[in-house]
Amino acid sequence: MTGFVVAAIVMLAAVVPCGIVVCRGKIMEAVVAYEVISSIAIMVLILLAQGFQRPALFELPVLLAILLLGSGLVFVRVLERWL
Amino acid sequence: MGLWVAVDDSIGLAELGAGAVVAALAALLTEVALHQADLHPRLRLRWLAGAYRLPGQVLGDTVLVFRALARQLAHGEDPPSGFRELPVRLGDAGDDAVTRRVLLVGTNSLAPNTVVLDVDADREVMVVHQLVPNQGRPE
Amino acid sequence: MIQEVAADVALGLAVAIVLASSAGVLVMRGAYRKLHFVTPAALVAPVLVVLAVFIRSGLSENTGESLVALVFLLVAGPYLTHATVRAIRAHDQASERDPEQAP
Repeated sequence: MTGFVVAAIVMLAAVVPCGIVVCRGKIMEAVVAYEVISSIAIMVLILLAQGFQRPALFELPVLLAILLLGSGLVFVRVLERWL
Repeated sequence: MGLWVAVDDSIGLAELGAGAVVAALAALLTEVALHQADLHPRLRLRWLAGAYRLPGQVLGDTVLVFRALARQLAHGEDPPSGFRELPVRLGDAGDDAVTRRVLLVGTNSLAPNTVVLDVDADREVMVVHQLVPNQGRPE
Repeated sequence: MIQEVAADVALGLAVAIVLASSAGVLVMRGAYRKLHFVTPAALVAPVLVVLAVFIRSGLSENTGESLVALVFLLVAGPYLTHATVRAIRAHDQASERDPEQAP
């Protein structure tokens, strides 16, 4: 197991505290935690793609990074205007 | 188009054609959105002159923010966070002011300690939230 | 050898920053304070991850694609944070006006 795969596994542990906030926190705190989880997901995918030496696997984190703004904005705009 | 080629990793004719169509569509949608919002952003390169300070600012603020976290964990001490007002120069109203405002929001929200809430063009102040206040005056 | 150590150091720093940011999101009280811990996880840590990829792979397809992802994170991150703090403020003001509606 390379350092990249180990780093990905350890980084996944950081999702747990954010997940606790998503489940138990107030709604805006949950949105903040969701944004952190999105960023962690992108990094984990990059690390796994590098660790397993599969260039094709890099496309998913690229697409997720592009969609991060859109997905975050959907949540914040809905919460700002309608909830 | 460049992004399409980079992600697709192919220079086949069909792929380039599809990329060109998607790029054209994206450019069209951008123009329509800017037209509807009546925005005509104009970037002046001299506004980017201070960009070299950003990496240092980000690193410094990261240390600041984690120090506040360490104090919270060790002593249960909440950081003295709050809203502050920072003076800004937007220039005359128009495309330049809009572009400057966008750049101000982006560059000032980049570092962890500061998040821009709003820019008041009339009073020429930028309202920010800081975890550890170190600039400006209280809102 | 030096390359491996440098890459591991960058990875270690990135993991430490992400774990600390996650702890900050959990421990800090209030959405405003938690928001300040999004940037280290969304901007600083990915820079270190891409640096580690670059150290290991050099100028390659892997590095190029990681860099594309990083550029989007760097450009979108500040504006997403800005939009989030505006939403938090609007939400707080709405809750103050009508406490019974607050979730």
